[in-house]
Amino acid sequence: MRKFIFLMLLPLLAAPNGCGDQPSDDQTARIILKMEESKASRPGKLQLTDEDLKDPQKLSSRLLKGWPKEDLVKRGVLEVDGHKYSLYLPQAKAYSVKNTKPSDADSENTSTLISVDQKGDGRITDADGWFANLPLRLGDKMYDVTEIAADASRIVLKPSKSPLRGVIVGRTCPPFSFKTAEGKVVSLESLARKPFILDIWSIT
Amino acid sequence: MVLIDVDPGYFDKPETYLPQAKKILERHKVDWPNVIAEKGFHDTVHAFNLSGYGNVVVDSKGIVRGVNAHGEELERLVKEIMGAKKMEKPGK
Repeated sequence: MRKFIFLMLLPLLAAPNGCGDQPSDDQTARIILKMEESKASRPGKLQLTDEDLKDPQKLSSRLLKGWPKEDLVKRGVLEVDGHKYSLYLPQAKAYSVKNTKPSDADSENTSTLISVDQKGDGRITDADGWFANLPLRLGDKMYDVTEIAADASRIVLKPSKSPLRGVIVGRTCPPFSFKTAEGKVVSLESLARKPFILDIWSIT
Repeated sequence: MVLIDVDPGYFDKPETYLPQAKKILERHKVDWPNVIAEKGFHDTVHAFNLSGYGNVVVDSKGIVRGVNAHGEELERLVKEIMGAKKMEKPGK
């Protein structure tokens, strides 16, 4: 009987990944998002030079031109938990899923900024940009961006093990933990069952 | 209200930041929590995906009700999360 079971299992044991021609778990987890032409836009960066700031006329002229827009030239749609999310790519010479700078802040991050329409209303705000080097939130699920095709024709995602990050109206606030100057911890846990406002500011 | 200070991101030497911050908080009598994002906007991007000054309104169930809301919109959201409790203007 043991010999019979062993013979039955032999083809499976010999096959790669132990499962015949089936793709590995890593391969099945890949989500390939096809990107198509788009004519959307998002708020761009208002870049003022020192000269603009010194000269009130120049400054008012720059401001009167209105807030600049950044074109989003490719769009792909992904369904997560019954909700469709549109992901957009900007016009760019090259796309990257890596940040070559030490900080992930907007002013330094060199990875591609993917815009996500979380609400499905076609409006992309400043808060809808997600750097490709960090896990991307769609609803209450996180995804890693593993590849963006050089011609922006596809984005490859895979489910991430990262904890929830990013704030989305109508969704759970992600966990956070910061300390006061006196060392007291303020976290999502410490504020449980209390309404609160987080205000990102600068003292100096 | 919790203030998240991103100042350390602008300081080459973070140790010079704290004494200045404490003085300013005392001078302006800021008596609500002011927490420190030690790596500036790098930290707020990681936690909230926010890379600029702004705010997040969260209700008692931990649901985000507003992001970067201002003026009347912010006032409306505050009333909502406080359970329609009447807001009083400062000084009244």
